[in-house]
Amino acid sequence: MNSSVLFGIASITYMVTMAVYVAYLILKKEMIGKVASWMTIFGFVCHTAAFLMRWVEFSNTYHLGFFHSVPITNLYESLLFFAWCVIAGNIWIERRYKTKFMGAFLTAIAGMAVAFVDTIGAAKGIQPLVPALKSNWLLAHATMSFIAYAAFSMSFVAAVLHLASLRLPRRSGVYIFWTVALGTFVFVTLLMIGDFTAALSAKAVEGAYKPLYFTFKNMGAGGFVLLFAVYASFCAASWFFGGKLASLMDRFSINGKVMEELTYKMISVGFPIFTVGGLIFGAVWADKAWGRYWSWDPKETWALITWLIYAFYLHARYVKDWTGAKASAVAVAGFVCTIFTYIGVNLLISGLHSYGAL
Amino acid sequence: MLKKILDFWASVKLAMFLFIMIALSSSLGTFIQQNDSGSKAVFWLSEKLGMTHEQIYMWLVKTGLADMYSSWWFIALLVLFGVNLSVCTFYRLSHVYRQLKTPVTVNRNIFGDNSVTFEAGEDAEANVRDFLKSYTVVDEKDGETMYLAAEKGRFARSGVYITHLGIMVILIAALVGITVGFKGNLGVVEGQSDNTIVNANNAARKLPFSVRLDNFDVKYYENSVKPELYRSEIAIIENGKEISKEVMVNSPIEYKGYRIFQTNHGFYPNKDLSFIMNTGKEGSVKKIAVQFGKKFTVPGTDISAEVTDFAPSLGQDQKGELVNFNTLMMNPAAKIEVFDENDVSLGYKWVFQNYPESGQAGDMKIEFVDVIGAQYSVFSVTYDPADYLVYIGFFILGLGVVIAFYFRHERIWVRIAENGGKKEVSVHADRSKFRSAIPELLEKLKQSVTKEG
Repeated sequence: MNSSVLFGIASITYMVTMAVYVAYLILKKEMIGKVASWMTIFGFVCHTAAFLMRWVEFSNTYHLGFFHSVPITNLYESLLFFAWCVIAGNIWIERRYKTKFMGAFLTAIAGMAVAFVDTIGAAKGIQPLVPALKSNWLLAHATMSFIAYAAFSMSFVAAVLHLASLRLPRRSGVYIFWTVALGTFVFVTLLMIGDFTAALSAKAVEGAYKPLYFTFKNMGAGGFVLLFAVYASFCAASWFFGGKLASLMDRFSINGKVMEELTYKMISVGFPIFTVGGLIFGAVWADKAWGRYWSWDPKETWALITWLIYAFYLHARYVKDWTGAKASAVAVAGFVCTIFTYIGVNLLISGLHSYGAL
Repeated sequence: MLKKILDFWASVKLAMFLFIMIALSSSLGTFIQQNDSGSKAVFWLSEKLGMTHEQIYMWLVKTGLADMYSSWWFIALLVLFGVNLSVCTFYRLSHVYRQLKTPVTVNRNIFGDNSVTFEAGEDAEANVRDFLKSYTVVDEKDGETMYLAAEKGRFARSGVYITHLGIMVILIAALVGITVGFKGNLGVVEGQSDNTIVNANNAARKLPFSVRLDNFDVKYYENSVKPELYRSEIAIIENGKEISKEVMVNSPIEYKGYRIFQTNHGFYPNKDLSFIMNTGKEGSVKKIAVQFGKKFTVPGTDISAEVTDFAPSLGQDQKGELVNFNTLMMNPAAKIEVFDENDVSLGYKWVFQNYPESGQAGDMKIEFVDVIGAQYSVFSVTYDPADYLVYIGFFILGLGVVIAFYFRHERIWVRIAENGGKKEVSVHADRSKFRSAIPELLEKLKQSVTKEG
């Protein structure tokens, strides 16, 4: 059995688990929840084994030192690692808060990440490293960035649930903001998966695949209007049904305050890792490789923007004692920036970080 | 009045405002490609606004958006941020210093609404002390009543300030780097030397030394166009003295405060190539250097030869015809024409550097060892006297966030009173963050004190 097979098993497990968690939320049967928890752990074990095997394969294939060959070098591997961190977080939250409520959302995030990478057949093989990537600083930088991203995505789920629990009126700006952010997140993820699947079946993927390229290439004005209409309907659905989330939370007696606390906690865990791994180690690497620790490259700049938004959140939460809707709205904005740093910059703007390309 | 001004500059509100302003403005620079008059943003704007590209770009230059991160208003934002951070930090320093210096003391009046009181057995005090093993404990006895105070992680209160200090150091180092330091690119063709670097604004600057590129190598992964390694062998020449060095990606060299990085490379088509050949009749093979287009005699024979063509990446296309695939030095080959003693052409042959046997003809061979002058290498040269200061800043910042977020100051007060032959224990706690988890902590303490056995 090689690592790809195990990765595949883990990916499928996550996606099935998501469905089981959703069934649990609808039917509220303890048994189903237990099955979901065990499936999560099964997927996690497979994933861990696959990760370690790939590490060894990588080390053997390219005769790199063991610590030089952590398999986090392209978008495929990094998304898998990201999913791994989110699942680890899910297991921790279930134990710590004694609730399986978050499971559906976190496995959804992990599932989307692996579903997305699963469709990228081309980049799956183990690929050699270009010279600039052979650096311990880079390794620490990439690994820690993804741990931070995973923590931030958990803070996003918690913040959304907290905002939902507040039952804000549909006219309120914060309500519109978070439902639209949620709608956008779901829409963009599904669009990316759909675009790649379409491109793959049309055999348009050769060499480097540019996400969303297939959708936009053949698109006339009518197509844009249609796409925008679909996007708007996603946001509208999210806006319309957002309130239902609160009722669902009530059924499972999930306390909004706990979610607010979890948002703060996850950002507190992610922020220092992001500072050290994402910004400092990234800067040290850039300095070692190119002789400049900061060059306002779009990816760097967006990482800084993300950092500033979370710094804003932490000051608001800790010093100014913001615990209401405003703070969680900032946490949601922080995650929007995180996603943009992670994927958006590679798609829309490119810079020195071309390694994140597919 | 002075206090008001200080309060303003020390305020967290100002800091939060600056976070948002810096975030918003720096995002602009990612959408408008910097220093590029032909960027997508310029095209887009000119289409939307109905102005010419030049007008748009002139406008971008005027507002500083074309080179935003060095525009006066962006630098001003960063300076404001630095001032705010410094004033805020120094303003609170004495307060924090006092906090850090003051150990926890017994407080008899702290027990109230937020405290937990419960009954316990004779071993209450021992159990409490056992729970507080990892804490520093002080105690006081008043008759039958025992008071304890415990704390751990007091140093964690310094984390926020260490973090701020780190950012200050980085900002100062960046300022020094911008004003005193410089960087630029230096491109050299194999076999030549240069001492002039050109920066992003096309301004030239002479270095106190010159760099000669002796050889440039790219190694590719097997059966792949992915490069594994770039290597430049250079000589640094100053006052007639030469020092040989090797520059690779991720492995720059340092010379008198200057750092030289491998940044780019390429193929340089020209007629001044020289080839290193192992050539001759069997038994009399010699290593010689030959010029492109100049005849040379194969040692030990009357035959002469000449390199008439060169291809950096020669391969066969689907029809089996020879074709040069790209300008990477993937499979360099030299076309060698051979002449007899009367200068009559005997034909030609492509000789490949990677396949020594391709140069074999009977008992004579012309082996293509290397080509000099076909490639150039681009180095980035930087001079930044505050470089080490940045690293100090990084270290302080890293230390700061770890202390600030992964440690916390926790204090616990306990009162153990006699109440009709039973022990009555009251506990109270405080921590520097995540206060909502205090009840949980007190519950844990209660469990461990009242546990059986």
